Amino acid sequence: MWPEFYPDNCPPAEAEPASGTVYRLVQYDPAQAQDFKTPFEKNPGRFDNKPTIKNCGLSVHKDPQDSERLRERLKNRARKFKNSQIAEGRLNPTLGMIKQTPSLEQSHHSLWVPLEAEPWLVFNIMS
Amino acid sequence: MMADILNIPMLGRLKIVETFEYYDQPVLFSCKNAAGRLYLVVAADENERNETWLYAGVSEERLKLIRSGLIDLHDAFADPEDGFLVREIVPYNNQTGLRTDFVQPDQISEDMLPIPGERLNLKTDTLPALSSPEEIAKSGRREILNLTLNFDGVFRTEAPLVPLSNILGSLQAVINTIGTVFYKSEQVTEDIRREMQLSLLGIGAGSFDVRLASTQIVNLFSDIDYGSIVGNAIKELLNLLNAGSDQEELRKRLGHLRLKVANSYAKFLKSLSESVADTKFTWVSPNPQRGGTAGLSKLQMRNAIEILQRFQEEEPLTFTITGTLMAASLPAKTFLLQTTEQIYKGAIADEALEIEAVRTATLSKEYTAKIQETIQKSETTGEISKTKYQLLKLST
Repeated sequence: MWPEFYPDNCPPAEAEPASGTVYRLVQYDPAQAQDFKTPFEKNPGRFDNKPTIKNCGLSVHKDPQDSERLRERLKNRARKFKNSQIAEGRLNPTLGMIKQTPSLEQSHHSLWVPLEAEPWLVFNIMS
Repeated sequence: MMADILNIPMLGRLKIVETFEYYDQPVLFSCKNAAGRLYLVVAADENERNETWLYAGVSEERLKLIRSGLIDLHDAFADPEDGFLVREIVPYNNQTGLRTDFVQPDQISEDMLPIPGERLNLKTDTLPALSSPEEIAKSGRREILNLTLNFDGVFRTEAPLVPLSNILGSLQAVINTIGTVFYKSEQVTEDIRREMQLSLLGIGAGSFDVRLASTQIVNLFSDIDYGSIVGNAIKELLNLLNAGSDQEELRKRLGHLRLKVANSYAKFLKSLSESVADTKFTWVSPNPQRGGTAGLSKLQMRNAIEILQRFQEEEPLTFTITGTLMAASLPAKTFLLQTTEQIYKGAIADEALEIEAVRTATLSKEYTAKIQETIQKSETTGEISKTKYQLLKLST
């Protein structure tokens, strides 16, 4: 069951059941639900109240070095990331669907999380 | 009113052109409004109440330089072309509209900007398309040198490869050699080579036009006032070219550049005269107060080469300097004199030993000295291998 605010075509047809180990920047230790709020949930007005495939997805990396490089860049730019940490999580299909969506980091993926899932429980802060 | 970072009344409705960095949402991207105006946008801050975004208006040329990594992301926002940034504060509370204001870069906290040296380094076609050199110089903060080469017997916009490579190679060599004077160096070091390096930006019609640009960008806060080193070298080169084949003008303009520049300049003229009927140079600087033009005919080039050869072979260069005597030995006939620009170290001429001021010279005292500069060439390559100085006269 996907969140009600997801648009009809979300997750996209090309997405696959979540699997493998991924990395995400989080604010809390241990990771909490707030770390897994979609951009649309956090600020719908910022998107003119229009949910899209993109703003309903969460960014994760398959390569921890990509997360580290991004964190290094963002922590010096956006203050929110100053105290961010990298959390490692082992995904399984109950945690949603995933699709590779490369940015500057080739291992960037988007993750769409079902309504009942609690992904923060499988993510651990890396030392 | 809903807050949408792509729908800002002052900027118009924006469309993302390219997302450079994405984390849950685009955090660094370029966008364009309906009128074609480009902006580089970065997520600068986010807290419990709002997000802050910075928009820097960019020309297409400058965006290419940012994209390719020549201009780093810090300078893209700290030194915007327009001189100001647009700051958007986007509240999470839907009931409140976004807040837009124009800010000077120095009003933005450094920790909201990308760190200096952060570059996109994306493969980019940076060849200019129909843009004026003034626009490239200004937006790219680079010194631009346009060469118009009228090759003998060529009637199309084409250039024979070997002569062209000789001309461009010897042009870079003369710029490097002038650079050694500014850096007070006896030779072209790696640092000088890097600082003085010119890059080929493009070619075009108009006989055969070659557009070169300083590889390093001009620092807005220091080079603009004092002139970039490579810009100063281009200025000296244009001075030499404008001296044409006037012996006295050439002597005067070479005076402070030292003899080694004469050798390098002669080689450059030789490469031109072998294949070009005439040539024109146009220098455009990011500083609108600087720039200039020069031109030479084949006859002027050949005459100037003869004069320069005479300078080197028959007339060792003599010049007067004022500096502090740092060391001297009458028995060994050696001296070391330091000016604000250079250290001169060499032999004391026999006739100078007859001069009272030389015999009674005091260390750490300021003197005016007449110096003779001679060069030694390598027998195999003809390149200058050493520059020697001889003290001819000393006075207080």
